[in-house]
Amino acid sequence: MLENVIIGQYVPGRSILHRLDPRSKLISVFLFVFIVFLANNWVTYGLLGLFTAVAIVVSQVPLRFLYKGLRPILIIVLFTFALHIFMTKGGALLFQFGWLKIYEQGVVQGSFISFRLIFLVLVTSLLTLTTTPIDITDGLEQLLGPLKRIKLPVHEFALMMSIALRFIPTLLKETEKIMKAQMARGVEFTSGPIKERIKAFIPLLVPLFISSFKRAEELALAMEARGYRGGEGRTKLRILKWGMGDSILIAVLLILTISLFLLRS
Amino acid sequence: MKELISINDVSFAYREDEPAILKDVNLTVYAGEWLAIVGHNGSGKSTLAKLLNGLLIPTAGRVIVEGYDTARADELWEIRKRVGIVFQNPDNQFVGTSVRDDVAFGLENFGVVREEMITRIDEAVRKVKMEKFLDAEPHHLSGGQKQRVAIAGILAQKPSIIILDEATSMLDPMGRKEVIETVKALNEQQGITVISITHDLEEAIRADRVIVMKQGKAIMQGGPEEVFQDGEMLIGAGLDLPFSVKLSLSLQKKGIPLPKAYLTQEELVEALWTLS
Repeated sequence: MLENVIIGQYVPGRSILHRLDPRSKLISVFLFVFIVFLANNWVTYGLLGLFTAVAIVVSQVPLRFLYKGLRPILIIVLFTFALHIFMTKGGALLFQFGWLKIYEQGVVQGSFISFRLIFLVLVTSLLTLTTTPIDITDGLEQLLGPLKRIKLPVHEFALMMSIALRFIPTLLKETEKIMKAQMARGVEFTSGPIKERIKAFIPLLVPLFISSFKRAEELALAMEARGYRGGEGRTKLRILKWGMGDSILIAVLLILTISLFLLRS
Repeated sequence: MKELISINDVSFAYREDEPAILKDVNLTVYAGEWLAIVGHNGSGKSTLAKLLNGLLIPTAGRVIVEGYDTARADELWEIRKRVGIVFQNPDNQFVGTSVRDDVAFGLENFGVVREEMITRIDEAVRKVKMEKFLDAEPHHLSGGQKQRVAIAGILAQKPSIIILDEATSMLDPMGRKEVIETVKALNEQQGITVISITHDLEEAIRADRVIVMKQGKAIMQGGPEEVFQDGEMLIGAGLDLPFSVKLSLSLQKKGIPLPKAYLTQEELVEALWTLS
């Protein structure tokens, strides 16, 4: 049951987007999240849409994966759209039904906000769909590297992340083993009243916690035995390569930003 | 023979008010040998392993590894480069997200340059026959494979000593065989010194020298031939005798004039059918 859980959402592939340096992707997504808010007319939204569409095509990620990312926020999108349609007044009156009036501005604002949300989610999902979690961790460690000077434990955070990622499958396997052991003794995890089911999880969590602490202790010992002493003087096997494509991506983002500034009303 | 590690009058207690786990232990590890340290749970054998690479520091006495003292903080890293430990639980010593990353972990800690790292990793995984799994993730490997990766991680550091701290006790018979054979080959072909800490006397039979621990003391040392003659002592130390030794000793008790306890089934059979 638990082996079907996919860690992260990474979809393996060989597209240009997959091969880009995680740093350039992180910077671009970060920038994109801000410039989305610059758009305020059809032209600027069109530009953002074009960028998103091109990115999706280039990534070669099957659309159903993008839809999966989008699904949880569709409700929010519909809700905000409805809210804007009924609340925003201005422009020509398009439709009237009793006290219910829909104005042109409402429709326009509603679609703008909805597009904004959809673009945000699509672009951020593209990052996680085309980059492995460990690459994202590496990219973040490098990007945040300068913060070490103000005593921020960047290396330690990155190490914590990568160890957490490495242990997710191990802990899932263990959870399943404990669950089976409990089920063999008659515990119901999948049926019965909610209250009982929640209660059934307590005897599952306690052994899981205890064993995690034990694991942590043993892992720390093994790391020390292999000469781990913090990030100081440490070399790295994984290196990130900044290529032509990365520079182009950043350039595209900058051009997009400037265009948005020029074209917004 | 060259001395690699010397342990002089070492005692150890986790806390001052607790009884000592090791009491006045003296022993020497020689270059190139396969040394088995056997003992029951709580005999202090695992504590001894941790003293050998400075994970624990003796409360009295000194542990000297190739001239470096484990009690000196500035020499600790030289020691850890030379002495690698394979621990009991295959999962809880796998740090990297893939085989390649895990083998690299120790090298990264010691600041080895990247190009050198790559050649050393390739060499190390070939020696443990895991070269086909370089990109495999730990949850897709068997226990024996994970232990072999742990060995590769140590090999990449070019150590003089590998300590197996109950490294085969959580493995199935296949995995156990894989690991023991890998280490045996390294010991014979590369001359790497092996210290195998175990409660499994079957494993100790292959050693050049056996040390028996009981309640924090080394109560006997010698070649396996010699040590296994004293069945009473081994049972007294809480150990389970290998089948052929057990059978030889029982036959002797019955009055069958076997000259000694035999370590392997073949030897025992040979002795029995030529018995006059």
